[in-house]
Amino acid sequence: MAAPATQQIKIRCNDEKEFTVDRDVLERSVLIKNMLEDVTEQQDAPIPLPNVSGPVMAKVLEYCTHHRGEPLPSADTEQSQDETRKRTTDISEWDQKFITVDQEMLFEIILAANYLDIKSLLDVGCKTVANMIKGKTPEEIRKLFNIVNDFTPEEEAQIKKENEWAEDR
Amino acid sequence: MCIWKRSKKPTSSGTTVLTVPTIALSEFKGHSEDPSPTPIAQLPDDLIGLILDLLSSKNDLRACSLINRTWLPHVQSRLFTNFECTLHPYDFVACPTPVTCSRKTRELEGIVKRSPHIAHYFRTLQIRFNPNTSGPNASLGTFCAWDSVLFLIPRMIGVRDIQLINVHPKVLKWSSLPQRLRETFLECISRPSLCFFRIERVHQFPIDSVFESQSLISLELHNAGFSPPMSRYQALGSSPEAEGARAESSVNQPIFSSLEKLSFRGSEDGKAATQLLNCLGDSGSSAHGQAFGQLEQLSFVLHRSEDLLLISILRQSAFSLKDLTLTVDPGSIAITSEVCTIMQNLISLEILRITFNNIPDNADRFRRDMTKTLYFLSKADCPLNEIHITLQPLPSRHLNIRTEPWEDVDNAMSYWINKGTLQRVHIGFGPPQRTYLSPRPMIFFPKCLERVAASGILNPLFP
Repeated sequence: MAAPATQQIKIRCNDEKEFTVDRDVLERSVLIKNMLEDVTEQQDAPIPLPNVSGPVMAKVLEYCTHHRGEPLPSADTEQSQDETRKRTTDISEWDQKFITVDQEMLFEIILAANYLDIKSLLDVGCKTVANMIKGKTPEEIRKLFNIVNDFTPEEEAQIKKENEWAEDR
Repeated sequence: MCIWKRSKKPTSSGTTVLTVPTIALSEFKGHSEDPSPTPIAQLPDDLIGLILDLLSSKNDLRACSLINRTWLPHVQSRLFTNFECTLHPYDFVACPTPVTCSRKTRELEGIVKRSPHIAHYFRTLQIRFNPNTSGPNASLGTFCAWDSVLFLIPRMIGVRDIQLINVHPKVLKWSSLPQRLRETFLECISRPSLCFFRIERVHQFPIDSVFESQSLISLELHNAGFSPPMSRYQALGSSPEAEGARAESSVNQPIFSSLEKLSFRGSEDGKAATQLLNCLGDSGSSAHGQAFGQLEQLSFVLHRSEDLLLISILRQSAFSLKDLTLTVDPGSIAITSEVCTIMQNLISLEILRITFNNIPDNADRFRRDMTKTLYFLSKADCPLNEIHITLQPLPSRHLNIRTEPWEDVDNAMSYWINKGTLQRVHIGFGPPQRTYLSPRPMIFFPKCLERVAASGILNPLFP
């Protein structure tokens, strides 16, 4: 006997790229989940996602499809999980492979995860950036992310002196 | 036609969005603007905060502070969060030159004088008096660290968590502190930003200073003593502010109206509970229950029989709690109906934690106490979700109870299992680094644990 058909939802990205996706996959996004819950009747019009481009959405959907069926964090558990996540930057093997992308895509995924409210994907993105920063000097971090140093030497000296006050945790 | 709307905002990351202060750095000239935004530059403030929260090493944070101006305030707000100041009351006699312990305080004073915005980042303030120093009668006001503390505290306007430790007769009395220090501290704890307040081994403290706080969420009173009400205003003297405060206090205001968590550990002299109740009684609230309307977590560590008086707080009216923790010592306090009547006024309770501390060799008495406790708890009609029981014998003692019959305890526990609301039962023994008892709970609570295990809710703390 065939399994019951899953509801298909259409979404439209800011570059007019459209995806038709299983509802349970899309509901990894709290934003879309809330939108779907607010609409009682079946709708044919695609959900517009003006802040996400097609290629980024494709990556996000890859993540959501892989993690479909996993329990979403409840409001009660989020606080304790926040404390846990502060202590670890471990990323699972699949997620690590998934997030091995160029920097532009990495930050686009982080922004999309934030906009779509996919906490686990946001975690993976932020942990990846944190791991990239760990153990590097300011100059190395600037070079890695192509950031211009806008401090004067005097400012840098003052900041270093101030920061000496804060001991290691 | 359907028009999709973003009906709810995405969940906030939980990180406070920082307001970039008008920092001293803005006075510097000559920094260049980034001509083309890099991918990382697109990140909003709260996402930068999320990434920084994942950096556990301060070396990494320090490196990030030097990336650029955008990152600096985010990083420094994480580097300058806790200010722990240990004061040595008599140090200036024993050591007239600046001492190591206050070096950091004076350094911070210097930093804040140069960069005032840094004081705004602090969220936790701990002032501790070192009990290991002693000396002759001396004028405390001459110690140089006071001035630094007096300079810093009023500027730490974002402090949410304040701890005061060791203002004790064995070190010094609250009333012995310089008046300016007392006033500054009381002004600090009366700020609307205060959420967490903890005092430990502090005697004669004017606890009524925080009665009317509208923001206080958590109050921890550990081995503390309290001066009679109104001492706060007496301490403030006859200033217009004090007069205003007196007039305001005469109006019956609910006390501890926002308090969600109260933790009480009895004092060594056993007077803390009485003193606290006296303060509460004189504060204009006739029913203590009204004073704790938002209370969700209650933790009592009861050392002496006088501490049982505190139970009267919960006798005044019906209560709803989420989490009740009782740490009791069967060696000095009888676990009687006095303790257990707490439950009779509870409308609801989700989690109950009981630690039987310093269990004596006399297993009969312990068993009787535990059975009584469970019996009285079962009298309350609360839909308990979790029970945690910790048995902690006296140090270096073996509790030889493995052959005792525990049917009465079994029966009491069985009541809870039959209620059907229990989702979790935790039974543990002593501190994890020491094993006093056989790690086989079935020996001690054979029948009830068989039933609990069969129901799949037992989660004992055993290897």
